[in-house]
Amino acid sequence: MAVTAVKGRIEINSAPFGGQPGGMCAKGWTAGVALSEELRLTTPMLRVDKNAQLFPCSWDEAYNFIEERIRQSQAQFGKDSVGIFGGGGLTNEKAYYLGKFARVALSTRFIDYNGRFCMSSAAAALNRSFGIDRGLPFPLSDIAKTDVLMLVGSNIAETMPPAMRYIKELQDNGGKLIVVDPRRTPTARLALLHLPIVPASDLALANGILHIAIEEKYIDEQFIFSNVENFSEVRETVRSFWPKRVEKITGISVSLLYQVAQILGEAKTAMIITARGAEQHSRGTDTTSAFLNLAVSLGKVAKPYCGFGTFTGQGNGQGGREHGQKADQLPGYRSIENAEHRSEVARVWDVDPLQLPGAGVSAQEMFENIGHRDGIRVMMIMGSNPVISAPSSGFVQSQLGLLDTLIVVDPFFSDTAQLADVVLPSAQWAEETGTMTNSEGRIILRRRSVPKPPYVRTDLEIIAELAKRLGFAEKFTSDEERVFDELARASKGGKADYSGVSYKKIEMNDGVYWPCNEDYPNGRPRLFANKFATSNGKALLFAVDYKGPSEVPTETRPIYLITGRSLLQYQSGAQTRRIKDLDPTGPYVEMHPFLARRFEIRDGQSVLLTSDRGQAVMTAVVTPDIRSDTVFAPFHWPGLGRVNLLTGPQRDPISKMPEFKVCIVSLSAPISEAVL
Amino acid sequence: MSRSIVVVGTGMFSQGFVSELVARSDGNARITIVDEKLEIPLNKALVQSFLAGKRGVEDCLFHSQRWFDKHNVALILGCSIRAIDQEQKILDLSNGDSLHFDELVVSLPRQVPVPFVEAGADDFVSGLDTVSELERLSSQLCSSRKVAVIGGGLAGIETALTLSSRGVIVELITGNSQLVAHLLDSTHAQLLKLKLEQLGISVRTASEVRSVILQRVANEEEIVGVSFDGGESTYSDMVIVTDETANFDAEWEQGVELARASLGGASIRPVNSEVNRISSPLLSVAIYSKVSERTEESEVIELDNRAKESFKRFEVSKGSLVRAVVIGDDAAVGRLSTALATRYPLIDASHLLFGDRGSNAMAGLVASGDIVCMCNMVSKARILEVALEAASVMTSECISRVVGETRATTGCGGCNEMVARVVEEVTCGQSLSAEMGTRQLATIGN
Repeated sequence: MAVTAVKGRIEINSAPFGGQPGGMCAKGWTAGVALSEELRLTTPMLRVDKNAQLFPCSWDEAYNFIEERIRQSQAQFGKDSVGIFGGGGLTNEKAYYLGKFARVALSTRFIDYNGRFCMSSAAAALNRSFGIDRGLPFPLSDIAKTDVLMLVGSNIAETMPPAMRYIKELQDNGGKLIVVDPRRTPTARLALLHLPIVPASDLALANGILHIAIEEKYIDEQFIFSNVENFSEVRETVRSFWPKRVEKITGISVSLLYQVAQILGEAKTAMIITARGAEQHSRGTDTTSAFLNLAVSLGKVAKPYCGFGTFTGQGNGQGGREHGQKADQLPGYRSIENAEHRSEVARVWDVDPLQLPGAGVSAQEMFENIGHRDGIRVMMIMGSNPVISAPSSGFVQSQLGLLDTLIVVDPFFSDTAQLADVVLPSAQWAEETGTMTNSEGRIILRRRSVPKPPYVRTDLEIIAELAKRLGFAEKFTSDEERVFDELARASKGGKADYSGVSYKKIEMNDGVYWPCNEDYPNGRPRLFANKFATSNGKALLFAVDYKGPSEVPTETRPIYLITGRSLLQYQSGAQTRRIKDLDPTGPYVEMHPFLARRFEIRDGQSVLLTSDRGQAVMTAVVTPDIRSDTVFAPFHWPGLGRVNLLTGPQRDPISKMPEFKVCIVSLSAPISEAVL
Repeated sequence: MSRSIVVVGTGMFSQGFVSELVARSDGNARITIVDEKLEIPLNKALVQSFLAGKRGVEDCLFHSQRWFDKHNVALILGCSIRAIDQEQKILDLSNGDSLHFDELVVSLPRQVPVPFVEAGADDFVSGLDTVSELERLSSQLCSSRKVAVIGGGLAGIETALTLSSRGVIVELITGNSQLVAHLLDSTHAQLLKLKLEQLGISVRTASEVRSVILQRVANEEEIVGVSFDGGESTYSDMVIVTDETANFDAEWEQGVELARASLGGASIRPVNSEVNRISSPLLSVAIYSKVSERTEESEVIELDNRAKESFKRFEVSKGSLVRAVVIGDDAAVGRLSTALATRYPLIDASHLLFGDRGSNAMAGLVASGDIVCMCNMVSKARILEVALEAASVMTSECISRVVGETRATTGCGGCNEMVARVVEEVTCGQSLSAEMGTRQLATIGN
């Protein structure tokens, strides 16, 4: 993307990158609109007491207020009474600094971020089997050259449109695309085979395909023998997934299961890539593992144009989870519970390792913890809008109301900011410099292209100022490049090793793939050339059994609800909803004509959806492109249209990923006035 | 404290129960399985793969000893129950031990009637129930050119299909007057029989087996003779005896359901829907029968598509499906199987006939939300909706209904062709037309 400011007007154009022609979706083309003054916050705001309204104030007043509240709370209730909630869209520098700010300036164990709601299941599965979590262990452009690409729960045609050029190239090269999705998405429409699966049955599908692959001798015995641990246990588990049983669970007919196994098994090269559709479940880690097991058993990993991976969901979904924004993590993908890791990082931070707090709790657990004795009383939210994006968001909203102080740092008056006691307006993407790391583990640099308006501060400036006021002036700076250099040093020796990366190197190479260190001075586009990152170099498989979702349809709640994103909106919509040209529609729910007819709902009509957590109101979009036992609603909108009012709090035991992708609901229409 | 759960019997039901319990209880249950059989239980759902030569005998077991050990499941074989003390919650075992239980699940296997086998012929007659039987089979099967399969149920038919696809000549024998007597009525059984005969399997109905005897033919070769009550007989290299009424998949699922219920989960699904499947590369069949709810008033939709050699019949009563038979149409078989597995309370027969959407012919051309008729702002979704409502397979009938209700095509007329093609997604997309097959839409009752 090329951004130029001409006489105060922002112009945006696509720009080539990394040897590839440029391309943007409508969200990119209109992103400049979000920079305009009328859409954003132009002053800090303060609520003097809970019953008062938010009023504009000076930066000094806001900082004073925050400093006082933090000091007061920590003096009275202990260090852990203050918590930080970050975001996967923040730059590496900010994510790193938030982690450092929490551990060093606040000494609190409570920090986590919305990446829990995004990629945590995939990260957990990759870590435990490959010993490393990099979304794609190969460059994205490699997918154009594989023979078969299987996408599980990914609708990149709408969520990552520019990546579609590689799918197009793949098909031009004669490659085959298989898409697993309960919806016939624009991505699924391009597929040779679309598997319109019963929501949350993906694990059974993967095990079922592996069952067939073993029977039909598609698995790579040689590869398994020399590179894989624990295959025999996986083999035994998938034995119970015979095709007729899997057909009943998944809704995919036996013959289609055989076709998929054959296409994957007979291909010379193949890739399996999962996304939120497979991962956002109470068994998300195991589901991701099931597909990983399939790819590994077929010998379709660690070879050119083969591989297992996952697409990121947020701008910095990968980098955001590498440098300490996560409850149990320190920079470089280190563990906060490992003594060696603690002292390595403490050395860079020049603090006593014993003083670093221990592991906190996951995102949703942080919200649940509010209001309890020893719970969080002051929370700072940066770069996230959990009132829209967290599950059971009605509950989250009321929990935030129990805080003594809620601090929100955001460019926009987001739905969460509206609840805050103090709001700080921050700079936006084009107004500051920073790095992000994409699915490929490729670190890219975004330089400031327009000056920031005088009424905002960058997130780094805000963190540095607060640190200074808490007595840590010498340990924090607002200079992006200096923060990055410190991050690079802090990550040295970790899995996500950035120690050889500099702004200069990134710019010269159009991005650098980590790890980049003394061993790999130019980075590593392709991991696992001859071995995995586990201690013995072998992929460690986990046998995973199917348990089903936490909720299954009943007489009173007969329909599956799945959530996701639409083409023209992004995440909680705090940014994109403000761009009117982009998408004037409001919250909607997609349903099959059969379902609509059964509940006597017409296209365009308002529909009331009810789950055990709450109710939401949306406009019906009747479409045959979805299973007739399932409805789909994007999560971008606020108020009564919030689909996350309905989603449940059930979490994956390993990754703590909430079960966004499936819950059960009932439908009714037309809605009565009483509800509104 | 972990509960002690004792399961008596090692059949599919028990195994489904135990597997689900292990998957869901997170190690909080101590499970003991007791059976008077001496052998580790066999997963009968995997036997067809064995017969097809894709799986070794060991690979047809439910679980290895290691699995049982790892999940704290004790296996007591060769031991029967002498007495159950419900009050003390104690089982008296035939080996003299007594066993405490918090919960007891008893699932005794059905007895498969075995025909009288003359001395000497034993080696050539086998069931499909135990590891030793499969081991015997695997040595015999290689040299068998012709096999007699006794039992006209799902297991017998699948066995016949599997062997037939291996090039073995198969004769399928049942004492009943028709195939799958406990599930199908005679008309559909006849259809199924024809289908099997087309595939080269000879089917002998109403033939009760009296005895199996060993015969020697000219060059000292041994064959077995199966003689019937009427005095007729037939000869083959070996005889396989199958369970006429078994539905292994359903038994497993029932065990799974019981495990969920016993764990007290909030979402327990009733075990009222049962799909009986025959799945083989040669033929796919699904039979659904909700026997208890057979009512006097129901609607029947039947599609006999000769071009595709498929047959579908759905019986809907008070908005829910009560009976269904699908032969040959793989996708529809899958849809029926899964629609019922998801316990969708109301089943839409047209969904089962046609799938969630019609043919894919038009799929890429128009998105569902797209406006097809610009003059009257009619979306593709709306046209599909009306066309489906029309519930007709005649394109012209559907089009006139669409035109009447939506006014599509009544402006400039530029969308004529597009509307027709969208409607065809619902009608012609199903490869159903007057020439290709017959169609019956009838209401029975009163």
